[in-house]
Amino acid sequence: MLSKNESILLIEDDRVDIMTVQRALKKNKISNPLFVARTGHEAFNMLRGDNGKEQVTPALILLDLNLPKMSGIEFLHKIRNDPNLSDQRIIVLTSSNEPKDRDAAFEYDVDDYIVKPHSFSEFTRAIATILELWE
Amino acid sequence: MPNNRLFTTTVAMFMENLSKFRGWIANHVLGRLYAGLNKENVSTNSILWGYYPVALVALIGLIISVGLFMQSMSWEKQQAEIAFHETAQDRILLIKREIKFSLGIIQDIASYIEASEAVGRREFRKFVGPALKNQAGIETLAWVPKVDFENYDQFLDFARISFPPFEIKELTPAGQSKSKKVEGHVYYPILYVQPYQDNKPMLGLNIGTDTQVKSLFEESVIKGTRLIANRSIIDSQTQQSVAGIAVVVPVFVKSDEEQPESTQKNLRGYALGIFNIGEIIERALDNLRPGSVDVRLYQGITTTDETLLYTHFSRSRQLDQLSVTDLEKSGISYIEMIDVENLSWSVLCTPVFDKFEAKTFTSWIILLGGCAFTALLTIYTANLVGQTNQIRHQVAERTALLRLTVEELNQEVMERKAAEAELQNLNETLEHHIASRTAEAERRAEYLEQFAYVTSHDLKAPLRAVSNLAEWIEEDLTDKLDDSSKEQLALLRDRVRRMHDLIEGLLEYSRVGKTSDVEAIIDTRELIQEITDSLSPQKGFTIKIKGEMPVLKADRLQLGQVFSNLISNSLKHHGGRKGKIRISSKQVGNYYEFTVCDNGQGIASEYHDKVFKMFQTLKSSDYNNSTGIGLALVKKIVIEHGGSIHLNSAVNEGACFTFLWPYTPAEDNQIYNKIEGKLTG
Repeated sequence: MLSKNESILLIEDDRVDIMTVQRALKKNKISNPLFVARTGHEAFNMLRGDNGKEQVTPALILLDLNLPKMSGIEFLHKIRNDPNLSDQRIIVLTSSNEPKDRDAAFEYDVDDYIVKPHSFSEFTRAIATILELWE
Repeated sequence: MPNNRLFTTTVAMFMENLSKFRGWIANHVLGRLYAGLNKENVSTNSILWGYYPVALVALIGLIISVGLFMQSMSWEKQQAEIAFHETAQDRILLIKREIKFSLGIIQDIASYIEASEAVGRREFRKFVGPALKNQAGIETLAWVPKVDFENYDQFLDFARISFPPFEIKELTPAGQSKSKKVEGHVYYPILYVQPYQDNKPMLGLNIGTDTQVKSLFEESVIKGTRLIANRSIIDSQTQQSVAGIAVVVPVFVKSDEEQPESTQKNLRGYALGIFNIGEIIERALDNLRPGSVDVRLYQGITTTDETLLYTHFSRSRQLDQLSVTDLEKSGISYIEMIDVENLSWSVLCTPVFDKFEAKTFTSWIILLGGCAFTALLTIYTANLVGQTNQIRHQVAERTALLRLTVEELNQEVMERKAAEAELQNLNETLEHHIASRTAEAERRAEYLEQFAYVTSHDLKAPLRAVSNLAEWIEEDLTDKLDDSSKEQLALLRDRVRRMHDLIEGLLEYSRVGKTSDVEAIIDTRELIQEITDSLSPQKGFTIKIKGEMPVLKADRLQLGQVFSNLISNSLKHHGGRKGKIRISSKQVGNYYEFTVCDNGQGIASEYHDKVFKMFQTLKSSDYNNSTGIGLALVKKIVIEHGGSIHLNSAVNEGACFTFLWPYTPAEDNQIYNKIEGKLTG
């Protein structure tokens, strides 16, 4: 279970998906701060506090793999090679059910790999499960 | 008849060799003559050179044979000569003895008369009687007293006592005449003579007038010993002149002195004997067996016809009736001198007949044998040389053949290498083609994969968004929406979900056959259990596994997909509220046969093929939540893994799907057991 002030960084380009996460959190009554980055670059700016962005140090990153410009796998590669950020805990939240993607993600030592459920209710349950089991 | 054949071939070879040899002579000798002009037959000559040893062997063999033959001949001749010499010596010895014996009588007479004062006629006859009877060749034995002029008459008186008509006679050219009493004359009348009948005319004959006799007498007196002279005599039987000898022994007056002076003064007379030498010889040889030896007696040391005294022809001659010339061809002879007192004779022995001819039989055999041996050796050598030549020839031929073969082989090797190179080229081209095709195929597969991947994401994300948005609208406007709007929103979400399922199915279908080398050891019972749990069948449904289920090596995901789709298919299409699904397995040949049966509504046989086709469902889409991909996917997976699937079903009689999955060998199970053992141990 996340403690109260621990923040979550969502890296997601799709607005509906962002809304889905936000709604799922809200529905689960989770009030932890949620930062959203639309691209990998933006996420790095936020994590490093570069380019006028306020630095965030999330307890957890929810990472979509299908991102424009820098893919989720590329992001993983980059963050695991960054000495300051290599310990960052990450959960992959993606629509891809491809074993290839799953294997690649686990290569970069992600905490979990969740295929975005089709229905919102399932999605909500999945988010709840993740955060309840967080330690 | 192998021997005959051998002989024939040998002879043929010999003849061939001979002709070759002749050819060699022709080539070689003439070739020498025309040296420099014609060198065509060099190779033939070089072959014929090989026949030198044959000629050499023949020559040496012949020389040795002839040498041995000659040696043997000479040896045999020598042997014959030795034998002859021995025979001849025997004869000559006998002759010598006989002569000595015969002549001995004269000495006896002389001694007898010398020892007596007076010898009467009868006494004389008696004395010589045995000799005449026993000894050979005695023609005449006589006592010839010396009568001086002084005692001429006294002598006549004495003589006439025993033989009244005794007269001293002279030999004249006209015949015999009465001797005249002449003063100073010395007479040598024959007083006694034996055998009387043959020698009657000689009685009283004064033989001192005969110059030959006279000189003989004188000489014997001077020497005081017996003397012999050759003298031809008239054979009493044949009345022919034959060789004879006259022997005289002087008789001296008996004196008191040890050595009587042998002078004319003391001389009393002469004992005279005339012998037929031939008869002596005949008598000497008479007792011998016919010896095939001719014996010739010559006067002195020369052996000419003039000096020939007597010839004894071998009695073999008479038996064989052979001519003299025939028998005198043999070259051997033996000659020995016989010395009797003052006289020398040569006795020549020659063989007659072939008794003393060399027995050359052995020599001829040696010659013949040698020649035969030489011939055989020559043939053998020729044969050897011929064989050697043949072999040389063959070797040359074979070498040439071999060279040819090697060249052919080389040629072939070259050709093959060329062909190989060409093939290599072709292969490379082909490989290149294949590689490029493979690359292209891979590129396409990759493209397709990429396409499927992109599609799945790009299609799924908006669908989810639509679904979520619809749900949120429904949530947010719960109070404001009427029932029909709510129903429409529910329909929207349902169709979106179906589309999502379709996309998922397509993705899975496209994923089948794509390299999934993640083969693991699977306990199918466990696998099915897991699947059954995850499918969470409705209440009233029972899923049972019957009998043994195999442990095998397979792609877990895909085999699981097959079972999952088959079971969920049965669950979906059962049609009833309570259903039974039975799963079983058995091994059929190189396959596992799995069967999934239900007791549902079944499938009509006309649809049996259709159920395995893409997007084929047997119900309208409104009432069906299936995508029509599940069974197609099952079939694709099974076929991709080398198996097969068929459906056994009828309406209202349930359905049985049976599929074959390749059998994995037992050793894999052993490996599995080991791994399991390790894990548990």
